Amino acid sequence: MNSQLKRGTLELCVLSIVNRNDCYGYELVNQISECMHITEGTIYPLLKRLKDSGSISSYIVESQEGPPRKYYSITELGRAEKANQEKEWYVFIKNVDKLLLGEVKADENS
Amino acid sequence: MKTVRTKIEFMAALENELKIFGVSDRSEIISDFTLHFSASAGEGLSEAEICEKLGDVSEIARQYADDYVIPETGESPTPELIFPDPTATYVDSNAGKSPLVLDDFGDAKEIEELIKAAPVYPDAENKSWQSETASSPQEQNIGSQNNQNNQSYQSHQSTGNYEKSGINLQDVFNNFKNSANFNNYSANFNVGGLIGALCVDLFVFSWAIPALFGVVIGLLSIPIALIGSGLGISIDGIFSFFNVGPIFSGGNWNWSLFGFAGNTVNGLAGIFLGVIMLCLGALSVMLGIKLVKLCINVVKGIINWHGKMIIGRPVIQKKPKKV
Repeated sequence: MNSQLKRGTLELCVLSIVNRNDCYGYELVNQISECMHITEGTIYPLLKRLKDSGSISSYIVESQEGPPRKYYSITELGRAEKANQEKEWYVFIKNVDKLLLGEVKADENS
Repeated sequence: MKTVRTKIEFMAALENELKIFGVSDRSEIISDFTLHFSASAGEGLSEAEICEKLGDVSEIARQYADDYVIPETGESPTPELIFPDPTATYVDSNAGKSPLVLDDFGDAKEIEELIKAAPVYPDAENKSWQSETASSPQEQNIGSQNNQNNQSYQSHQSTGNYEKSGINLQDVFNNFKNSANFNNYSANFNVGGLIGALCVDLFVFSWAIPALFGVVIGLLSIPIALIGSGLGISIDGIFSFFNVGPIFSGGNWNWSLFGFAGNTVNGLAGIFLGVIMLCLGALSVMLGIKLVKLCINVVKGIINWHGKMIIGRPVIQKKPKKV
């Protein structure tokens, strides 16, 4: 699959997942890996960037039976950003669909 | 980058790469990955497996650098500005391996092949790059080392010149620039393609050209015949009302234009038939035009195919349709 496309939509995917539930890093990596083939290490730079830009925030939860976990939660800014990107995404795929169908018609006429 | 197999190796390599890329808040990044290792170990994965799944360390570090924002200006540095820290030393040497570039999720080998296959442009020796940005001895040093390394890279000898820190990065970005310049419309003369195209031509055009001839003659003659005769018959029918010319009736010769006997029914029939033939003629002209357009497109397609075979690119570019 086109890796540029993957990279562009990964942010939207992360925001969507965190919007539904707070997740810790490893959990996020697993969820995304289920849907697409990615290099796991590249999620963390993305998370850091989202945190730096204020779309998500993090908090540490100490645990008795295991290692501490760094949970990420979405912020108001993040929600707005996610809504924005989601809208762009749907418009994008609608337009691509239009082009794909239009392409077939053009071939018939040429 | 040598494959890292343990958590300690990974962390050390990551710390090193981040330093090279000039990323400053490294401790948080290291702690993120430490937590990742803990969580993965909890799931039963070995350290080697975790390292493999995480991917290439320098690639990860590069992404932190890409996302890196200069605190003072809030801007992302351009690749040329992300000068590596020359005082940092590699944990491992890159002997024999070419730098990885570009994609987070792509296959590294695939990308390497793509970059190697990209044509070398005149400024690929980076003389222009060197003169633009080399202002300090340190940078010049890096530039010339990079030049040397870039040359060796393009001659496909990975001789392990990448031992000095930072050369790796410059090579990475310059090769990225070169490959980004690559477009599909360079002209490469392809002799094999020429021979192949000629063979196909011989095979196909022996029957295609006579067929094409027949089509053209048919396209021309059918409308002409229909329109010509349609006109003729209808004019004849019209004139028969006016009794022009000699007509043989009642045993006497009168002259008429085309020989109709000059009575009304014949005249009407003539006009009717003539009009029908004219309509058919018009239809055949419209069909003919469509067929001609189709033929032109086929010919264009054939020319483009020849172009692709011989010089590696289509000759006639499709103009975008006006919406």
